[in-house]
Amino acid sequence: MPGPHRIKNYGRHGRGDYRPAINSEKRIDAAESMISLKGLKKTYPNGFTAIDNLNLDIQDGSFTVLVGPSGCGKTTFLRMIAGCEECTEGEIFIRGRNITKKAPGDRGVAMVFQNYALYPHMTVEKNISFGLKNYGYGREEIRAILRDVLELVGLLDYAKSKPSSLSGGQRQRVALARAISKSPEVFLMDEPLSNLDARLRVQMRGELIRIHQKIGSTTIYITHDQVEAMTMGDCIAVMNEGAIMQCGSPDEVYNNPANIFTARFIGDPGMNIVAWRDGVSLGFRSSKALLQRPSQFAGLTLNAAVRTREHLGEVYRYTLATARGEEIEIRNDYLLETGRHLAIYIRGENLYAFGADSGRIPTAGLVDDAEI
Amino acid sequence: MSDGTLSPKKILMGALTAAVFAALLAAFIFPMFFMLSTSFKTLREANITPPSLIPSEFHPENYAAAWRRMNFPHYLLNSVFITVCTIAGQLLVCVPCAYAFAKKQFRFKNILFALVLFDLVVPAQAVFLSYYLIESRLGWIDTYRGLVVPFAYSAYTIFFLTQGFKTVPDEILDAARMDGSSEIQIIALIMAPIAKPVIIAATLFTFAYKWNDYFWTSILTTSEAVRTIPMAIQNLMPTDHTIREWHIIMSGNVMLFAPMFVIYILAGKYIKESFTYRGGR
Repeated sequence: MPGPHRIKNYGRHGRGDYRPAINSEKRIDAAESMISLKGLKKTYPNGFTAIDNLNLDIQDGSFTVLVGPSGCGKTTFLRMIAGCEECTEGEIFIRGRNITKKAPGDRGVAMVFQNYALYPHMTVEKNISFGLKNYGYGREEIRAILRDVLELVGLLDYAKSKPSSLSGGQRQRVALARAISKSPEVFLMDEPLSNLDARLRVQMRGELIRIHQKIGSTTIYITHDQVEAMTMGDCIAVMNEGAIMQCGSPDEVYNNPANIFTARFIGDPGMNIVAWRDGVSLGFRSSKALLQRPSQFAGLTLNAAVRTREHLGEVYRYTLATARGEEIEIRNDYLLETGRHLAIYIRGENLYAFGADSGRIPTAGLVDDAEI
Repeated sequence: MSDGTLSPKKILMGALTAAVFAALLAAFIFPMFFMLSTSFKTLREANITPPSLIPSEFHPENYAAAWRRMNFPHYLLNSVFITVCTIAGQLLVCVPCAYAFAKKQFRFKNILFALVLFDLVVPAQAVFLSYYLIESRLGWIDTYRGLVVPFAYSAYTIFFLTQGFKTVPDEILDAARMDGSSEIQIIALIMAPIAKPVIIAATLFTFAYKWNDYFWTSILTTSEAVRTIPMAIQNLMPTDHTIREWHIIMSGNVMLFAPMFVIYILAGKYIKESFTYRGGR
């Protein structure tokens, strides 16, 4: 095994009872939770509750993406795991070890911050070795780790540079190298790509996944971008207003959303939701909307008027308004004039139903011939 | 003047601005110039009316006379020692204090900071008697510690540093915490180097304040033993009604002022930086 695997073997800490990541053969039961959060609650002194009774188990070696709109409490949540924010209630376990009251440096976690948070007065090399020195690594060990992690992120030539002379992407790599150097049990990443331009973001996304596969440490990654969530995570936790709405594989949260929030949030575009009857709402993906009634049709017929049209290149993106004024989005390569009234058809098997509490309910036999 | 033309209104405004700046410059520069000019004059020329701007003959030996009559080396040593100790004391006390105000959450923080702010507007003349009484009970009158220890706390320095420290991003401090740093390490190895311009500027203000301080030194000392240069210049003033030797007094003033001038030239960059400081971004 090249570089990064060696890094793990250097692991030892000067203080605290934290022991760095164990090699794969030493891993305890693979099904065991790496991180276990029990009843987490965070209330700020001003009375605002950012997180309320949050329970989550994160599997060893997984890449979990926590996704949610701005202000949903995801950064607070990550900072609580990091130890930068105190828990009002609840407990945090890493590999069965209760770390709720531990100092940030003694938890075996490393974090990559949104704004990189590099030490501006230190060179790239010093930025990385600062923490290692605190943990009591020897000079030779530090040198070897430095070489390994800088090689891993492709910045060997920049060891003596100051952060201010680096580009955004390079700074983010330094931040990543700094986190990796400590061979933590858990990586925490707080929107690490949000400050990069679109092209670099896609490139770094691939690199992060590559590095994760190489190192294999459990990673919790925060983003408000559901595309990032879908492409990067092997587990997605959708968060809203301080609570986890759904947690599952990308496939599961996309194809089998547990509630309206997840359905609307995941996917590009999100799921269309229209109110039906008795408090029940129906949802469908825009790609499943048909403009012509198929033969032997069983499902939902939706009457709507075209409100706006955008040319996306391959297809048009339309927003339509139903008779009740609900807005839906469809994509199609037909040219439709704005203001035109039409009916769209969604087959029963492509419909999702949600109850009055916005939770998912079975559709079987519910909508054989519905019309709105 | 984006269109490149000069309307009469713009010319007038420009001239007015220039005139105001010239007047301000003159108001600040002239006293210094006159001090320097007088320090080279003879006794006679220093006292004539109307005063001359440029001395008709240069007498640098005035400085030797001032040096001798003030017993300058003794006061210089006192000034340097007391100023350096005060600065060291302030760095030890005010830097951690400002760090706590800027970056930590603790009980009564707002009340305590309000007290510090209140102290900014309390004139020294309102509280000097308490200082004097406390120091005399402690037996600290006429001692170095009497002139240093109470001044290790400074509301102004704490306020100034707090404002500067606030602009350093919390994420960097969190990163240091996750790197296993203690709070002391964060202050010394992360906060202080990042906020260096602010700390240097605060140090310079303390230097100027302590170096020039006449008020507190005159109250808290009774003999020559620990007195500083501003008090020595007082020695150049005649005690009876004889004529004032302005040329010698001004020489002493220049000697008091010179070190500050040199330091300002050397460190002016940091003072300017500290006022536009944005947390090392």
